[in-house]
Amino acid sequence: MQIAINLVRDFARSRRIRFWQRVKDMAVDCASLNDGLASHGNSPEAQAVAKEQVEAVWRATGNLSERQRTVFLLRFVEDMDLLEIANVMGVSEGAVKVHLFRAVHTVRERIGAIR
Amino acid sequence: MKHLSPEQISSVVAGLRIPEEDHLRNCADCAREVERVQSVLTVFRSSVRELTDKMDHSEFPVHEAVSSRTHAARPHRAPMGWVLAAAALAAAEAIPIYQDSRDRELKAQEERDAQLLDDVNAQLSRSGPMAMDPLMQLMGAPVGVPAKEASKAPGSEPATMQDKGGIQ
Repeated sequence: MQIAINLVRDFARSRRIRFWQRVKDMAVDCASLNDGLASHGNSPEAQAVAKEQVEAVWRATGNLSERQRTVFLLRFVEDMDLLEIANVMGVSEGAVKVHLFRAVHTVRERIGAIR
Repeated sequence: MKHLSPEQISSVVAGLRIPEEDHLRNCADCAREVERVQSVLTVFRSSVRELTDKMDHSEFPVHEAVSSRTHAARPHRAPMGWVLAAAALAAAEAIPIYQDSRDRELKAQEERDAQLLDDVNAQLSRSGPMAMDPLMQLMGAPVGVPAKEASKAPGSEPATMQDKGGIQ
């Protein structure tokens, strides 16, 4: 069962790796990212705010350094824990914490005005 | 009451431990701010994931993949099982043939070796050099036969000069 779960996770991740590859090549923009937002029964106002927030996060990640962005995306999109990220990136857990803190802080500043 | 600093809030959102966690449990404002940022990040994650799924389906639709597997004319290829079975059968037949020819070759080699050994023995046990053979024949000794054997033979004369008393 665990093997099956891992396979599904790996498959989903490999799809998203392709996505990040495209992102790196600047083939994905904010508008297409917002197309991915499902309404889930939210009000138009809530959807508008959500779009704005996603755009803000998206733009903020563009201002991060390569390592900060990688750590940020692995943590908040791939749901990887700190040790996993450290292993994947070949850095110490402490370095991951530093990059993650800076990335979150930058992103938070960017989305701070959106309420 | 002193609220958490922006850095401390960022640390909490990042999942890092801070010494002021007690404050976070008791302060609704700080807890609300942490929750707000976390919810934004959750929305960001779901939007990325949904977009990834959409892109994946548009790039490589499942139904097309299935139909291409079922309807497309694929080149006829022998199943791997048959190929392996044929290879095993060929090997099973080839091994005895190879062993048989190898045995025959070894036997022939042994015969050649034995013949060579006989020749060498005969050469070593000659009573005189090859150039003396005609003289030896005249004297009645069989060519290539050891002198002692020749002398032991009934009715035979001494084969060598020494047997005859040597050259005076």
